[in-house]
Amino acid sequence: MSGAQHPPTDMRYFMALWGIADEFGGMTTMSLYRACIFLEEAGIVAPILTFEPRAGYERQIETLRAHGKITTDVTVLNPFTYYRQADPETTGEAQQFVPAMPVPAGETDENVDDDGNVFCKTAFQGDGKTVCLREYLRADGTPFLFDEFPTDADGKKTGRILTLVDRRGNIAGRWKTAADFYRHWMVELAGGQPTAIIVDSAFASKVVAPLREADIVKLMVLHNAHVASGGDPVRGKIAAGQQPILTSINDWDGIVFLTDEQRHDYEARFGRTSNLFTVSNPKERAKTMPGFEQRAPQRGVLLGRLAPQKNLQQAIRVMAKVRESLPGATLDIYGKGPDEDELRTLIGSLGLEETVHLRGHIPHAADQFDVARFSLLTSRNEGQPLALMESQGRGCPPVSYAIRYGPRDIIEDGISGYLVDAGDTESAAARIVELCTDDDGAARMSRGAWDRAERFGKKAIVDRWLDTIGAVWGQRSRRTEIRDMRMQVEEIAWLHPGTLEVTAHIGWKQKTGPALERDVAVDFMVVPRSAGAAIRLPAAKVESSGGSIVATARIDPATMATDVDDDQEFLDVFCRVVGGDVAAMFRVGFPPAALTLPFVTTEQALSLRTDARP
Amino acid sequence: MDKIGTFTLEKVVLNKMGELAVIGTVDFGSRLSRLLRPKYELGIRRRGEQSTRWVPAQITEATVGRFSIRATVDASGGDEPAGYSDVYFRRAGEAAENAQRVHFPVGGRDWSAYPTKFGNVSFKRGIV
Repeated sequence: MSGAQHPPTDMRYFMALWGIADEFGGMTTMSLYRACIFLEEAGIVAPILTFEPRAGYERQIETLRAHGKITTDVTVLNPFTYYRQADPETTGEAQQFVPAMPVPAGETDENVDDDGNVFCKTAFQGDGKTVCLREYLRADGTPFLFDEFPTDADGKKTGRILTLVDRRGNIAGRWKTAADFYRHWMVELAGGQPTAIIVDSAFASKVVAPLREADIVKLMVLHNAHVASGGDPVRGKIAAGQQPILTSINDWDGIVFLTDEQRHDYEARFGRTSNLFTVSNPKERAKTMPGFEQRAPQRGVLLGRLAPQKNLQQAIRVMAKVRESLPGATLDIYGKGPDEDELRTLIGSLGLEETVHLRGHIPHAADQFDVARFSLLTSRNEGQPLALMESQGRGCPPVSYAIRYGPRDIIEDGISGYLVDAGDTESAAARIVELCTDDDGAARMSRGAWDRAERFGKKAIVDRWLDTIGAVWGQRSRRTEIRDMRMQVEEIAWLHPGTLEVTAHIGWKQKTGPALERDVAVDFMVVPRSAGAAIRLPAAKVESSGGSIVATARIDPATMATDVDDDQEFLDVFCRVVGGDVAAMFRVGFPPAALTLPFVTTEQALSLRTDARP
Repeated sequence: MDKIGTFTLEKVVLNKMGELAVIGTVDFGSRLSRLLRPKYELGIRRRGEQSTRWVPAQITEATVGRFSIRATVDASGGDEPAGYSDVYFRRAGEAAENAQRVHFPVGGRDWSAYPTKFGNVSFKRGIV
């Protein structure tokens, strides 16, 4: 992204997570690390935002700092912590808080902060289970937030009211949802300045996505494959956690993929919009390249959880083939997980006890890449495998299955490692044997791996982030904000039993940006049901007005589906709408009012089938 | 009376209101037919029943030797029970047994459009 636009110099930056668990995974690690390297490489203070009800993070932050997970200057902000300490401003005439309904007498639950002061008191209905009020308290015992769940005379919930109060009990703000309260807080943090919020968690995305402020740009990082369980990118089911993000990408100024390959897959399926970007995770390479002479000539390393996604059975089978020509070759696997017993059994059944070793989880396992000749990755799917980046950054050339996503972006085949087709144990073994027996070639590839790892370094990635934020900021005035896009089939014409002319009406409500109907393109996508690429049929716009388009296309599989594999018996039809930063996809249905549809008899005569009224 | 002429189906159109239009052309038998503008009808005969429900067809255009014809039936179910019906064409007043079965030529296509169980548009190989 050279020649990029830069974000404004007074821009405020935040990283958003839902919360920080005591034991957290890669997504939280990356968010914290990004905040650290923004500061380290660009002098940018980017606090972490969380939304979980918490009195504070002091002890946790101390632990994180002690473990090197965050640097001293990185802070964590949270609306509960924030308003517990700040005295919110009241505007206009002071109005005292009055509860929406009396709180029944009875037991309450109390949560305390690290110092033993009550942070939250929870009161219940007469049943002792249904929450009717959460009262959040300052350390001095005065309330700062009332979270009420009032009920009607029948005890049925009538909504929710969150009321922020100052130290005198005067109302400083009132909201109907917690998310509205969180968004109020974010706007207060932005303070009217240009602001970028980078969101890592899908849960936090629900809070941030609806935030609409002219000077706040929102970027959502997709840490995992968008298709569930590594499924087919064309027709696979969208991963449940990402469904709300991907079906409303128009809410985001930027959707950030970790790899180009994933972004391209997404674009091929849903369309290319102006708010899609790629920024890799950072992985700093070793300051100096570990010496080639210290690498054990026939030793490989694999870092990964012993879990089905990592597909380690395949790694073991690869080593079984390696052993046929190199009996002394070994693979050390570092990690733990539920597959351990099964993997040990497989190692035993293949007689590989001297070849494949399960070493368990050890601290600093990545140091093993410094002394190994090769690394191996046989996962079924990944978001972006850090193990490959780490291996390259330590000059250990990886041999990897070319799975989605990551290996194709990280490895230049034959230069910085080897890519083989997923499941091709024969080729993977051949590449490993090559690396173990050809000293010059292995040394060259070790250098190639380390050289190319530079592009994942902290500086390179922070620059890329700033370029992306600059681009997002630059195009924010052209952002199209739409709501409620719908597609309705106006008419379907059978020109033959197998040739349809479909006319669809697409309507939406537009709030800002250039008129979408001018820029938007409508395609019909014909998708073989179980395998193969989708066929795109551009539709002609036959009518266009504010917030509405009528488009039509002829769908004739006999003339267009020459590329459909013979074993594909079914084709499904979708309507795709793409323009500006808007992309939407709809399944095309027959008009719902029709119970009678035409069909052709074996004598090529027209007949009608009427279905029972549902 | 002139010959009925041959009806050639151009397309079957279903709209969002649940109206199904059968559109085609009919070649008229003589100059006299053109002048007289004969009335045509589309017949829907439920399988297993003798009676045919006839709906009038409109002549939408007259060109050299041919009329363009359009007949619309309610496809929203109405009081119709579920089942199959065959489609016929005749000149109004003709005996029902002289009506033509409306042909729906496959044209060498090896795919057919069909509704999935959710009412979506899909194609499957062969004649459905």
